[in-house]
Amino acid sequence: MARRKKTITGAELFCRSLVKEGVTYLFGYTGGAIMPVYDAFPKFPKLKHVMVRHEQAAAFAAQGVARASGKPGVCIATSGPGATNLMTGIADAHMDSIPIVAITGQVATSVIGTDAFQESDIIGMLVPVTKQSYILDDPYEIPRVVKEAFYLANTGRKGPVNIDLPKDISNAVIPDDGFDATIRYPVLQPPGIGKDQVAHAQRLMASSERPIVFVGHGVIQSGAQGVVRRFLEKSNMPFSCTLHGISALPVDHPQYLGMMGMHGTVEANRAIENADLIIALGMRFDDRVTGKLDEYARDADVIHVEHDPSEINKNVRATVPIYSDLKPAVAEMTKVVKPKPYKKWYAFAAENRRYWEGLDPVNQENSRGDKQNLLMGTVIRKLSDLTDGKDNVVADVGQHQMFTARYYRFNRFNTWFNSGGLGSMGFSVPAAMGVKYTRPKERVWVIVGDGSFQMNIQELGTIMEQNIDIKILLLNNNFLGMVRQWQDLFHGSRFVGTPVKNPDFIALASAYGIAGERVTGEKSLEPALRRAMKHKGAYLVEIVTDMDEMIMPMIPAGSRFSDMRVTR
Amino acid sequence: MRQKKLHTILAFAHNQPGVLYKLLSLIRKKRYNVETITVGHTHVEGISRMTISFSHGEGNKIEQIVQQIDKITEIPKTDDVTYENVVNRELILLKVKASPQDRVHVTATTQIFGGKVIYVAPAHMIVEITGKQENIDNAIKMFEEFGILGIARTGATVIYREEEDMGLDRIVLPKNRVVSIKKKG
Repeated sequence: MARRKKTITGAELFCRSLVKEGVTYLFGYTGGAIMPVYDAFPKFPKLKHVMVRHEQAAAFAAQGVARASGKPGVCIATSGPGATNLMTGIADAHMDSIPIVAITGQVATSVIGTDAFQESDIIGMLVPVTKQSYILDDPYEIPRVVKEAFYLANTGRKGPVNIDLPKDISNAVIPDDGFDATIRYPVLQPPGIGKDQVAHAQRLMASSERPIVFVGHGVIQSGAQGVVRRFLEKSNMPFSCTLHGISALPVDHPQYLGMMGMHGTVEANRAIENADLIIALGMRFDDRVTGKLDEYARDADVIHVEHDPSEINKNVRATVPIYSDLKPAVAEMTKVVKPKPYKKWYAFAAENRRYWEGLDPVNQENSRGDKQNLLMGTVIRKLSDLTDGKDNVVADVGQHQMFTARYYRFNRFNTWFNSGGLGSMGFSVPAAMGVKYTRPKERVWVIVGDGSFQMNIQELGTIMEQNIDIKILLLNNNFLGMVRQWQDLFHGSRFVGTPVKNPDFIALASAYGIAGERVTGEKSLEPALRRAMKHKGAYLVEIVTDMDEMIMPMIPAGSRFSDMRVTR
Repeated sequence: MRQKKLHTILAFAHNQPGVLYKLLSLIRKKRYNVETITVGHTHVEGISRMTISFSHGEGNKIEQIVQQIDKITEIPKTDDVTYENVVNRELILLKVKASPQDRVHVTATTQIFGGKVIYVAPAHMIVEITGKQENIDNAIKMFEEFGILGIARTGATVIYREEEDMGLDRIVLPKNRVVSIKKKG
C-alpha cells in the first residue's frame, strides 16, 4: 500500500507562510470568501487577529505597525466590499511608501469574472496603487507568493502589496511538500554614488555659501539618521525636514530650521528661497513642498539622493542626480565635505525665526482665539512640554496635523505618524492602534479633529474590545478647519460644507467604555492631559478650540515661496 | 494622412496575466495616448517583447514614463528607443480598389515598396507591405490614388541592431513546478 502523504489546505499553507514571514498581528474583518483562512487561524497561535469595525481601519492599522516597526503590516478582508473598503488605506500606503501586505478573499476561480456574489476585480482596482498584486490561482504558489509579497513590500522603495486569495484555493487540499519559494523578482540594488558624482558634489558644497539639507522620509525608512547627522554636524549646514522627515532627527538640533513647504516655518522656506545649494536626501519634491515649480529655489543647485530613480528629475531637475541608497552616498559626501561657519546664513535664519516668533499667535499673551477658545497651537505645545517631545504621536489630516508637525518638539526617532501623500482623513485612530501594538510599552497619542475623528470613529469599538491604551486628543472646533481656512483665504469666507454639528464625544466614548473629559479653558488643559497620561487604558481629551484659528505661515497651493502669507 | 513622429518605447516583460494592463494603466495615468502597441514572444520562453509608441509629449514626461514602467515588477527592462540604433518595422495590409486595368499598376506600386499582393478579387486587391513607419505612410499616400477600402496596421516593432539587454538577470523564470514535485514524490 502506498504511504499516505501528509496533506495541507491552501488556507493552512497560507497561514504557515505568514508565520514564516514573522507576522504577528493581522487587522481584518471576516466574510464569505476569506472564511477558510480565518478557520485556520486557531492552528497558528502566533498569528493574532484583531477584528476591526471597518476594513479601511484594518489597512490603516497595518500601516501603523509598518510605520512603527519598519516591517510590513498585514490587513485582511473578504472579497467584494471588504476588499474595496481596504483601498483607501492601500492607496495611502502607496503614496507614503509604507510596506503593507493586504490579503483579500476572492470568489472561487470557477466563478471569477461572472459577477458572482461579492465579487470585485480587486486586482484591476488596486494595480495603480500597489507595488505588486497577486491572484493565487494555484495552491502550490502560496509559499512563493507570500514570501515574494513580503519581500517586495519591504525592499527598495517600500509599498503595499495585495494578495487575492480565491476561496477554492484556500479550501484546496494538497500534499504538503514540493513547494518552490524562489523569489522571481529580485529587487535591483541602486548603483550607488560614483566618483564623478562625489567630485561634483564636493565642488558644489565647497563653493556654496547658502546650503540647505532636506531630510525626507527616506532617512527614517533607511535608518540613515546617524549617517545624515554626522554629515550635518561635520558640514555645519542647516537642515529642514519634509512632513515625513520629521522625527528623523531631534527637532531641538541647533542646525534645524523646521519643516519646509506649504505650512513650513518662515526660516526654512526663506532659506530655501534664497539657497544656492539644496542637498535632498530621500524625498520626492512633492507639490506641497515646492509650490510653483518654475519659481522653486531658482538659484540653487540640487544634489538629489534617491533610491527610486523615477523620483529623480521628476519635479525638480537635479544638478547632481544620485541614484543610490542614502547611507553609502551620504557617507561618501561626509568624507569630502569641509565644515564652514555659514555665519551670515545662520544669522539670516535666526532673523526670520525672530520675525515669526514675534507674530506667532501662540506666543501672544493670552494665546486665545477671538472667542476666548484655546488655540490648537497652544494645546500641542503644552502636550509637547508635558511629554518632553518623546511620545508617539499619530495625527490625522487637517489643521491639527500641521499644528502638530509644527509645534510638537519631536525628540525621539520615528515617533511621528501621519498620512502625508494621500491625506486620508480617518487615518489616526486605526493607525495609532497599529503603533500601540508595535510599541506596547510606549505612550501613543492620537491628535485628531472633529471631522477626521468621525471618519473612523467606529474603531472605538476595537479599542474597547482589545483594551488598546491610546490617548486621543480631539481638537474640536466644530468645523472642517483646514477647508475653512482655505474658504476664508481664497473663497470669500463662504463656509460651504464645512460647519459640523457634532455629537457629544465624551458621551459617545463613554458608551464604548472609554473615559474622557472636555476641556474648554487653559487652566484645565494641563490637568486633563496629565490625567490622560496617568489613566490606564484609552482616554479621550476633547478640547474646544477656536474655529477662526489658521495655520500660518502658508504658501498657497501652486504659489511661489515669495508669496508666503505669514498673517491672515 | 498627417505624418506624426512617434516616440517608441521597448519593454521586455514576464509573460504573465495583467502585465499589459499595468503598463497601459501607467500610460493612462500620465494622460498619454498610445498610438500603437505590439506584443509578442521572444526567443526566451516566458519573456515577451512590447513595443509601444506615443505621439511626442512635452518635457520630461516620457523619461518619467520609461522609469515608471521600469518599476513594474514583471518588466525587467524598459528603454526609450526613439533615437537608438534599432531596426523599426511595421506591417500593413492594404485593401485597394483595383479594376482589371489597374491591377498591374497596383502590383507595380506594391513592388516599389518591396511588398506583395496576397489577395485578388474582381474589383480590389489586398497587398502586404512591411517597412519603416515613414515608408508605410508614404505607401498609403501612393495607394490613395487607386482608392483605399481598408487598412490594417500592426504598429511598430523594434529590435536592437546589436546585442540586446533583456534584463534577464533581473528576473527568475519559474521552473516547471509539476516536474519538481514528481522528482520529490
